[in-house]
Amino acid sequence: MSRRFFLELLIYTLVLLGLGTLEGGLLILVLPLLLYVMTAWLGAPSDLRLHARRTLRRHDRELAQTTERVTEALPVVVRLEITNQGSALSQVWVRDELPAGMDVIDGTAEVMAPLGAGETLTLSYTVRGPRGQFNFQTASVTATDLFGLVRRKQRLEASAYLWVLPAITRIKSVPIYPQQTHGFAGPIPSGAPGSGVDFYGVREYHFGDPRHRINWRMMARHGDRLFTNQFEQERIADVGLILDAREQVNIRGAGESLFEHSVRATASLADVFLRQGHRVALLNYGRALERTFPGYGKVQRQRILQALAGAGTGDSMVFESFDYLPTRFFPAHSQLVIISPLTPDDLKVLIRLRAHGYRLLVVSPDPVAFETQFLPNDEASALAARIGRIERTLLLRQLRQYDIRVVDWAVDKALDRVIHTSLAHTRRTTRILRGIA
Amino acid sequence: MTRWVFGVCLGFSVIALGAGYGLTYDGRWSALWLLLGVLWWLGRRRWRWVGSLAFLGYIGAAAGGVFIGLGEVWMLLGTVAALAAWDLDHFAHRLQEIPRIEQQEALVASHLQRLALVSGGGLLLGIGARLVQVRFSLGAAVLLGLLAILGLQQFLAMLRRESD
Repeated sequence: MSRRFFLELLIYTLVLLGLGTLEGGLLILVLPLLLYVMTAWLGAPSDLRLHARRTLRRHDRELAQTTERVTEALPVVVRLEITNQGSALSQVWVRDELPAGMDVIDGTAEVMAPLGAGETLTLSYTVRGPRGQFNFQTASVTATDLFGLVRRKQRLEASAYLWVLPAITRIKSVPIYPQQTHGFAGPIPSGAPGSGVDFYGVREYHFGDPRHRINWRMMARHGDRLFTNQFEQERIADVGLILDAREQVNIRGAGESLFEHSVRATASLADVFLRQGHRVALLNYGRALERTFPGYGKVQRQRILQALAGAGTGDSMVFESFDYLPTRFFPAHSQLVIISPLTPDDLKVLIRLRAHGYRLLVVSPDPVAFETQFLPNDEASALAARIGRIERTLLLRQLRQYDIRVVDWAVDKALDRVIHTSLAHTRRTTRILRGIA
Repeated sequence: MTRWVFGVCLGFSVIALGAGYGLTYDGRWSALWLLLGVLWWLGRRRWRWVGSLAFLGYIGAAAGGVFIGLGEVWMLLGTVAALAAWDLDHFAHRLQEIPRIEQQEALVASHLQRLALVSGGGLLLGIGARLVQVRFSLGAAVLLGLLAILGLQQFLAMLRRESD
């Protein structure tokens, strides 16, 4: 029961009792109560004319530097300014409505204050949120009279969007060898002579070849003919990142999700490939087919990170297996990087992709190691983990047999180091094979 | 500050009602109002409803006192003090609930000022109404009564509309 209703009821009862018993004294008792209610009514706020403005900025930035994007775990300062464009308000209670998942780590999202005509009330607090897209929409304002008896509520629009992007682990380089490259210079050996640094071959001297490229030893062997050293052209390539967002493969435990590790790995890989100058596309496979079309550079990096910020797992029946991977989304013979914990059913699809001419690199967060840490320390769990480990080892071995490169990543280890260790062997083999060819 | 003034108002209410009952009727009732005051004081932090219950008790006590012919001024004083205590109890709760209050001292000061004015005004109005006595015929009294009820109803309906 509200205070106002309670008081109204009391006044009514006393008036009725007074009239019913013809006792004037009871009516006298009503007078202070009535005066109290009337004063509250006279001091009640009239039409609220409030205007709200919200800005977001990184915790370590200046006041004027607003932002819409932050990396995971970085605090964001929310500043909400409410200006009274109407008459003076004796008590205003402002409560900012936070998007779900956001935690206030400093300050408070509520304030009460008197607000004079033309005055501005500023609410400032610091929040931190998990990866995701957050929409700060409204602030709830309640203006009351001094006694708090008559209230006026209003929801003020103060919209601001915040993208909490996945954290990126700096990866030095990821060696890839796609069959097809683009015309622009990049880090991938293209298998054609041109301006590069790796020795490619020797051809007969053409007029205009620089003198320092002449192979003097060849000339000595062949008498009067001149030969020129050729170097291998290095080009950029198309890289397609496929993030496996199927619910059934992304294990959760103790508030952690394997998917979060996959997302961070995808962000880190996108970062390294874009830094190397490649054209990168992203496909988030699970909830639906969420695509980020191929592109280069910093803008593409932002696009991919934003797409990853909003990525979530899905349990769609359609996308239960990799059968519906849209290969046409990626250029033929390009490099595909699949970030997935993998299931045995994925094997045939990956082999098919390899057969279609795609170069495949699978970065696989280890679900067995991830899940084992949440299991009880008993014999049954140990046996289950052992079986799981054997199944996984066999699966990865089969993938490698089909020339699919695999990075088996126990997520408690640094991705950069695991990639370096896993792909160093492949790098050496490739060099040897190229030397033989 | 608010708590201190609340204590004073509660004390006034207990004293006024206790004096009204104790001086001319039965001292045991005074003890009861004192007990109610103690209950309000002790329970106000844990149970919010205690304030409204005790306020209702005090208004009931004042109405009962008027009905059985005890000193009207004591009863009026008790009502005004109980009203002020009830208001301050709620105000203190509100101040505690909201984590950040700007210009709190000014807010408290203006609240107390307004409450003092209303309490004083209510008391004076009550005393003034007690002094003014007008005789009506039964018909006129019934008519005035009906008008008063209708007016009150309209006024409260308007209040409700305004605050929705």
